[in-house]
Order: sequence, then C-alpha cells, then structure tokens
Amino acid sequence: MTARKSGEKMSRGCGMLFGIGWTAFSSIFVAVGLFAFWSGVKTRTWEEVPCKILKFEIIDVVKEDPPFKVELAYRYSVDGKSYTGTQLKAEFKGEEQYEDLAEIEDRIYGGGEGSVCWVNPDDPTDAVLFHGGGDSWFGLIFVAFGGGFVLIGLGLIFSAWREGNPKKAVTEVGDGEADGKLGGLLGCGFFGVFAAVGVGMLLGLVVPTGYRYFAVKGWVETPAEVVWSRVRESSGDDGPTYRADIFYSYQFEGRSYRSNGYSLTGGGGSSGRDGKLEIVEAHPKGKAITCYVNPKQPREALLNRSLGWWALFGLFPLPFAAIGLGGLYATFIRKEKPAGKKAKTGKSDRTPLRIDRSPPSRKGSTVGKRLLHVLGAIAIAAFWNGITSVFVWQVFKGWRDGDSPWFLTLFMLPFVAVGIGLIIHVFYRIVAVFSPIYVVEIGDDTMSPGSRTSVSWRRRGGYGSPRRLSVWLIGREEATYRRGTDTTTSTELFYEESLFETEVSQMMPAGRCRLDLPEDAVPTFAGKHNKLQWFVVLVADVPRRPDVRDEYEIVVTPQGRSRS
Amino acid sequence: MSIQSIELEGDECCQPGSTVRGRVVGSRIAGEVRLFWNTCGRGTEEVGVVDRQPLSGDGRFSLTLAEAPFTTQGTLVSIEWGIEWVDDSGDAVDRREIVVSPSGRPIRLARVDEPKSSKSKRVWKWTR
Repeated sequence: MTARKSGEKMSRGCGMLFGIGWTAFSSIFVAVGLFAFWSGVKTRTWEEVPCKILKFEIIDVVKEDPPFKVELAYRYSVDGKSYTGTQLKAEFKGEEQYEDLAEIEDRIYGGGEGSVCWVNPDDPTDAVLFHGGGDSWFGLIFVAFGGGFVLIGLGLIFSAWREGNPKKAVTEVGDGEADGKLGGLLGCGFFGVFAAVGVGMLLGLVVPTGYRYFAVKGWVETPAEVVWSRVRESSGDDGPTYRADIFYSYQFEGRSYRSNGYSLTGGGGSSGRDGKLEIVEAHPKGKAITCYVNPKQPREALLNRSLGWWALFGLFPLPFAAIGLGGLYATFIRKEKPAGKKAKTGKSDRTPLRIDRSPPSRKGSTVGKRLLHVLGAIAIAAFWNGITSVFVWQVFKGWRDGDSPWFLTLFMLPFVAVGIGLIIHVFYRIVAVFSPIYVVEIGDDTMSPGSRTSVSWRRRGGYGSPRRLSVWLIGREEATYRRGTDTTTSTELFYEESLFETEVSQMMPAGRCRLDLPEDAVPTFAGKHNKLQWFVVLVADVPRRPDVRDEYEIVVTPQGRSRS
Repeated sequence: MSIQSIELEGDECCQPGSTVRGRVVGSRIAGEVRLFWNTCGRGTEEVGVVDRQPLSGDGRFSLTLAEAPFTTQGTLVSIEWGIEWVDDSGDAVDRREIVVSPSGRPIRLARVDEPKSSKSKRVWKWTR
C-alpha cells in the first residue's frame, strides 16, 4: 500500500541481521553449556569394569583450594591388561565440604559401592570410580539461559521475515494474528528465562535450605574441637568473596567424625573479609566448640543453625518466578481471532467499528479507582525497592567491612533513584485520593457529526478548592505496539476545544454547558491496537494537590446514525 | 506474461455504505476478492475484511462498503481501504487502494501540539 514507508524495507533487513546476530551469540551459550554438561555425563557412556579398591583416604590440605582431597587407588583389568586408577570422578580436583567425601567413604566401605569402575573405551588408562563431577549442572543452566535467548532471536528473525514477505495477502493475516504468534515466541523466550531463574533458585536453593532449616532443629548438640580454621577466598565477577572455613572433629555414639560444615548457607560467601576473619579468629586450632550433629547421618554437622539475613534472601527468587510463570501463562492462554471471523461480522454489521456494544468508557475518578491506584503504586514500589534493597544491603556491608565497593555503589545509584521516585509516587497517589470528586452527565453519549448535546457536572465530595475548572472536548489517537516483548501505547490529540472554563469558585461545584460536535468529526474507531476516540474531559486545578482529570467517552457515529 | 489486475467501475473514491463494482482481469480467474480496511502507522496493524466474494468466470464482483471507518490519515493512526484479489493458495494477486469518506478525500487529522486540557502543574509534572 502506498502509505507504507519506503524505509520499512531497510528496517526489515536490519531486523533480520540483528535477529541472526542475536541468535548466533546466544547459541554460543548453548554450545558452552552443552559442552560443560557433556563433560559431566560423558562417563556414563564408558564401559563398566569390575575393580578392587586398594586405598581410599581423605586428606585435608589447609593451604589448598579445595582443601579436601582423596588419596585413591583401585585396580582393574581391560583386555587382560591390569591398570591402576586414581580418579574418583571426571575432572575431580577435591571437595570444599569434607562430608561430601565422607559420604563417598561410607558408600564404599559401608554400602558396597566401588566394586566397579568406568573405563574410557578409547583410553583404558582413563577411568573413574563414580559418575558425576565436571560441570553438568552449570552446563544445564547455561543451556537453559542460552536457549531462552535463542528463542528470542528466532522470534526476531521470524518477525523480520514475516514483514518482508511480498506475496503475503494483507487479508490473510488480520488483527495481529501473526503478531500473536511472534509475541508467543518472544514471550516464551523472555519469560522462560525469568521462570528458569526464579524456579531454579526456588527449587535448587530456597526450598532445600528451608527444608534443612527445619530438619536441623532436631540435630544433637555435641562437643567438638577445631582442627584448623581459615578465611577462604574465591574469585568472583565483582571481586573476591570470602568464606569462613572451620574444620573440626567430634565424637558421636563412640565413633570419630570430622566436618567443616559451618551453617545452613555454607559459611556465607560475601565480599566482606573482616567479618569472616573475625569468625576464624574466634575459632583457633584446638579450641573446644559446640556443633550440631545429624543423628541419622552423624557425618553431617553444623556450627550455626540459624538462617540470619539469608531468610530474606529466600524471597529473592519469588518475583522472578512470578514474572516468568505469569508471563508464560499469559502468553499461552492469549488467543487471536483470524481475519475470516471479522469478515462474517463485517457482512452483517455496518455500524462503526466497536469491539463490543457496551456503553462508552467513562474514566471518572471515583474513590475506589483512586484507592486502586494507591495499591498499584505501593505494589510497584515494594517490588522494585524489595529487589533493590538486597543489593543496597550488599553495598552497605561492603562499606561497613571496609571494602569500598565503588563500582557497585555507582551502579546502584540509578536504581535507588527510581526506587525513591516510586515511593514519592505512592504519597502522590495517597494525596490524590482526597482530591475533589465530580460526577459528569452527558445528554447524549452517542452523537453524529454536527449534532449537539449538553454536558453537566456536579461535585460529589473530596477536599480542596480548585482555582480553575474547565471542560473540554478532545479527539485522541491511540496506538499500541510491541517493542520486543514490551507493549507500548502512544497517544496524540487531533482535536481540542474548550467547552467551559472558569476561575470563579461559585461556578465550580455544579454547572452545564453546550457541546457542538464539529461537522467533519471523524467517527469513533476502536480497534484492538488502534483507536480514534472522542472524550469530554473535566479538569480541576487544585492547589497543592494532584489535578483532577476525568474523561468521559462519547461515541461518534457516521452521519445520521445518532440516537434520538 | 499476462497482467493480473483489479479494475474498478468509476473512480477510487467511494461513499460509506455504497457498493463497489469492478472486475478482475487475468489469464486465470480464481480465488476471491475481499473488501477490507487496515490500519497503519505507529500501532500494530489491524485488518478488517468487510465483504468478500468468490470469483466466477467473468471475474466481476460487487462489494458493499461499511458506514465506517473512513479513510483517515493521522499522526499515529491511519486507516486505509482496499480491495484485494486472493488466489486459492491465499497469496495476493493484486490489490487496489480506494478512498472511503463522505467528502471523497481522506480525512486528515491535525495534531494538537500543546494540549491545554492535559497541562500539569510543574511540581507534579515529572511524576506523570
């Protein structure tokens, strides 16, 4: 059609290129994830061979990371030739938690495991005693993330291709049906990532920790002795993190055990070193301490049973899970009607396009609506500031511990500014609840061009004395469109006429004025994404309060169709 | 190669509610013609098929317009009318644009640059 801009062709090409680039970049994450996953599961394809364990001893090397390693030797035979294996798992370098190796020791000497090993068919010298190891979980997470972004990229490519199809009949796809499919693809990718993060953290971290929190309440208080203690440093993206690592021994039911279990959250890796040093210095070698032992699995023990601030962190995945799952739900239950159905409607209904036959929308600001706005503002402010506060707390702890986290501080400034703005907006909405309330009556809310009706208003309540009151007739265009997965609505006025205006306070509580619709007024058009609408607007300028602005729609029908 | 096209009786300006007549010309007369409006501009495109008619041997058609919408050109939203010839596989063979309005010309919507009805107090302006 002639109205389509010539630049659309260039934008389609750019859109296609961008989508291809996005998909290719995201595919790298998928490939890396698959490679990492494979490194952890590849041993499952190896040959199972009987073996005999010659030596299994857990050693602790306090100066190394991870500190707990295994001195292991087992003998096996392949094709008549004997080999000695020393690998516990694929790419095994040690464990951070002593009890993980203690559990394996129990499985070997108590559970009868370790009688077979798995041998690489391509290299008989390469063998492992147990599956696992590697980065299989890390790989799966990467694949999930990368897969979500790949879906978004495919959606972008599909969108650009669909727009560029020259033979596509305009009437074959109507009312945003293809946009519905595209939106579904993009929504699946975008919200899928959120859902994966939220649900993954919930099920992988929060729920197990919560379950363990209640379980450790039944653990037995037991005397222990510190073997060694140190601050363990790990490299992170935002700088090093520190953890208090305390290794201790204890007796339970006549047997000796060792553990470095500190708390439910594992000793709390964070950027503050001083706090961890304090804990370590309070637990020097040889000091008598108290630990809590799992009576069902005595190799499991903790020094600290409380959750502390981590209990709040348990709420962190909730918004991600809510947004992700809610978005996926909304994406998959949304339905679009094909153009064919519109044709049947068009054949029998010649009146102006309206999606339904309900009365015109009225946007009078009742107390109920204003209270809803307050609740909405509170919900948004609580959500935003709830998430931001987690990182603000990290900044605060960093400065308190003397780490000077400048980068994180500067990074958080705009988020904090938005959060403060949202809080101010809550107060704005609360004040708006008490603004004056008006009721507006329109003589005839369905009119034809050139017709006349009356508009009356009456103040019903609220506080404040307006200094100016005005009544307007406006015509407004409204266009809704997608940018990626965001839906944006833009509006522009194409007509504005003042019907009444006064600064005389006695004329404000009630009044009436005349409305003459222009002869060339365009009929109301109310599509799903595009609208041409007419409104009567009452505006009251109230000092030191939000303005009152109430809209009342009037439907403009083609000539000769207005109600009498 | 024969040209396949839509030919209209009369000009391309039509009154709302009137009948549009014409015929399709080409080597193979098949499919149907559809009378439709579509939006274009900033918002997501919408299409409404108002009338349709399967094509017979002579290719003649007669389609009835709705009373609204009118052909409109706005800042954000424009509405166009057209007749589309679609073959049996759903591909467009030809498309002709028509103007539907009482005046015979597209309705051009002006733009109110500084609306007075939505003017906000300066102290609240940044929160709106």
